[in-house]
Amino acid sequence: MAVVPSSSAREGVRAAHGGNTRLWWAVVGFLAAMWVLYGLLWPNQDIRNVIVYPVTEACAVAAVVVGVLRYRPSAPAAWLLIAGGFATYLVGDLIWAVYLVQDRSPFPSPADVFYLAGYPVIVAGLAIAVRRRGAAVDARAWLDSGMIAVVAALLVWVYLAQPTIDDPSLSTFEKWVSIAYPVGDLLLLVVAARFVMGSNWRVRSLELLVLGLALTLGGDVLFQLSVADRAGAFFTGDWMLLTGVIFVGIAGLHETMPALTEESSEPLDEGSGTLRIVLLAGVCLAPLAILGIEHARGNSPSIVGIVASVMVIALLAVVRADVVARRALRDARRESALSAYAGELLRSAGDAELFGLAAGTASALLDDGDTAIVRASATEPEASAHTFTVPVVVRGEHVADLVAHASPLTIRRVRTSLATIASELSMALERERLLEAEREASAVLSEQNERLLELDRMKDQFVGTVTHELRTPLTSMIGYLEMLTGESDVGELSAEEQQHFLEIVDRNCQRLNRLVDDILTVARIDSGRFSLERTSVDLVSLASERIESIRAAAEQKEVDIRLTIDQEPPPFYADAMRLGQLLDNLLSNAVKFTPAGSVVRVTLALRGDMVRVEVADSGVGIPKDELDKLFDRFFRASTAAAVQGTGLGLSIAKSIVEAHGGAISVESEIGVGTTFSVDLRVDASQEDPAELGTAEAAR
Amino acid sequence: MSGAASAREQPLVLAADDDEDILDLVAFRLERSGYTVLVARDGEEALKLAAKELPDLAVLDVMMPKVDGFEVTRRLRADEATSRMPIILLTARSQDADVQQGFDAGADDYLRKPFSPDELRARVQAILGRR
Repeated sequence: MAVVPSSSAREGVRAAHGGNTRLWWAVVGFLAAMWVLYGLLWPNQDIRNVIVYPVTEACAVAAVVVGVLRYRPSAPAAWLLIAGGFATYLVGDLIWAVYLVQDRSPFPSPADVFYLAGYPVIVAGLAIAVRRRGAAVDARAWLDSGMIAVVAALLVWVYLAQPTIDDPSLSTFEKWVSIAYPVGDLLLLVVAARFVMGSNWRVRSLELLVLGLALTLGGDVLFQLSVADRAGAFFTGDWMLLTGVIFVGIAGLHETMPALTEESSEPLDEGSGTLRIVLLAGVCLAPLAILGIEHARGNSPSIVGIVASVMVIALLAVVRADVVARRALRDARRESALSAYAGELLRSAGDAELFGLAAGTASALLDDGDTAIVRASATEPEASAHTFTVPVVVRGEHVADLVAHASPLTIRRVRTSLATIASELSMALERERLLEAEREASAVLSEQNERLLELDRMKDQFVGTVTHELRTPLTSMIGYLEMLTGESDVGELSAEEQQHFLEIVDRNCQRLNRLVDDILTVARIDSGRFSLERTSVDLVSLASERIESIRAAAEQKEVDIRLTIDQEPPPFYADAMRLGQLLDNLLSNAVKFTPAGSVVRVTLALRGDMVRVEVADSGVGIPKDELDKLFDRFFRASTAAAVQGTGLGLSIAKSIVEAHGGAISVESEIGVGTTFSVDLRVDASQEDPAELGTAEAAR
Repeated sequence: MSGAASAREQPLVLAADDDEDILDLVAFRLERSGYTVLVARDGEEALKLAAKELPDLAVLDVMMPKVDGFEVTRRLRADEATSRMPIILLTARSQDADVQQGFDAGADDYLRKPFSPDELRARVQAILGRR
């Protein structure tokens, strides 16, 4: 009842639970009333034994059957056989009731057949329970039950069997029937003892069952003693028997009754509890005590019986000590294997190694010929009595299974250890994952750190370069202006000289202005304030205009600029100022890097709805391994060292192209030259389809 | 060197800078004060001219293509013929470490850009007048 799907279902469960409890108490109440009635009817033997006794018994048997139908235990045979055993008694009692009514008490009678038949039926039921509860692992349960059986057999022999055999008034047949009863009790005692010692029976229903069986046994023995001694314990034995039957009945109707055939955990004291040791000590001393008591009473008990039982008990005790020693040794080995395993896990790394370690440790705990493996969890676990599978879970993820193939007995013995192995493997794997994550995090951090250092270095370089670049035009401006203003002692300047100087100052002002623009653009891009103002742009006239504006500087360097128009692109929507800035950057780069006497070629080509602008120089070229960093801010190619620059132009160019949804690329060959290609979509404007239509029409 | 220098009517100054306008500025200002000026646009050219013409003084920009001003200074000092030539460095780099590097390389004086043309003339005059 782990998961309850809805509140109504939960109420249903509660109602059923309440119903179970009410029914149980009702039956308990009824049987208790019958029990009291039986006691009160003491003077009236007939009604008591003919009516109350069988009715109570029938009610108890029926309670067990109802319990089986109601709670559906996994193996109903156990409870049904126990109920059947008592039902057999009931038949015997009914036959006996007929004799009582007729005021006869024949012995042996057909009633004895049913009384005796009850024992093996109950024993069979209990045997099923013992088997199902599965605590057969521990030999001590059998050995201890055996010792108890020996003492019980001795008691039966001394106090029941021998007096019966010695009774001259009984025929041989009568003697056999009389002895059959204590033998049946003995059988029941051994199986019940085995049940109690081999499993954890501290469940309400099982406690009631054990109490019921104990009372039944006790009542039966008392009854037999009263018959044997012809003493007055007749009534007490009967009443005790009835009490036992009642307890068995309410045990079978209790809601915990399916536990009888469910697999149990280890016995509470694992065979070494103080109570059990005291009991076993009593068992060992019992034969001698009987000898003493009987001797003191002037009787001469069977020496053969006592000696034989002492010998058997001593033998069983020796075997038991050996079993305990072996078990302790095995436990110690297991503990040491497990702790060695825990240590090895800490020293190992990698899933494969950890899996191997777990499998190896598990195999060492199994018997020869058994196997244990750790395998990925993908495969469906095979369910068989010879296979034990423990899931290995790491952070809620089922990553693998520890699978052991061994006998069911071995599996029962080592399954707790296998679970430990699997859970320690889980922790080791988890630790692996954590370490791995930490390594990754630290790698990322150190990479980031490296990157930051690189950025810092580039920034320092940038500041140095920008300072230099700002000061260079300033130097010309300040220097020439000093001479122009007459503050200088340079003397008179001719009108021509003055005109020339003013042009120089003007040129340097523009250069400074461009530089400040670049720095500003970079700042805008950095702060995310870089946006386009699209208007209809005629790329051909824009390119011509930008080429003309740089031509003067190019001619000064004896560099020619040639514009080729492959196919004229239509006007399209773009930011004219930014595209102009892009062209300025590419053109001034090309001019800067082109040696005197060479040509910078600018090509405009339309391919489908894409326009390609190529700016090709015949300069020093750029090494292949630097091409992918070329558009990074502040990056300057190693071959650009001879030429001044901020390392900003191309990064700005890239930002401009990408803002237009286009692409920029570069091809270069050392010593031959460099070509930058810009691809722009001519219908890039999605802002104003109407205007685009006009542009299409114009084309 | 003294033979070549003393034989000239006007002191010969080597000016090197990669910026055309600044180079013109230096040349114009010094020529106005009666110096003959040789111009170089990069470090290599400056070294070539210095070895060939053995000028009385060199005004070198630090950040020049091919061979920078510090390196030109070191090479001039290393060469027997030019080891005693006075050198003034011009630079837009202004950190103290750069100034120190200039003097370590063997420069006699150091002028920060932007500079006053008159001041340059005065320093050149001061160094050459001492001789």
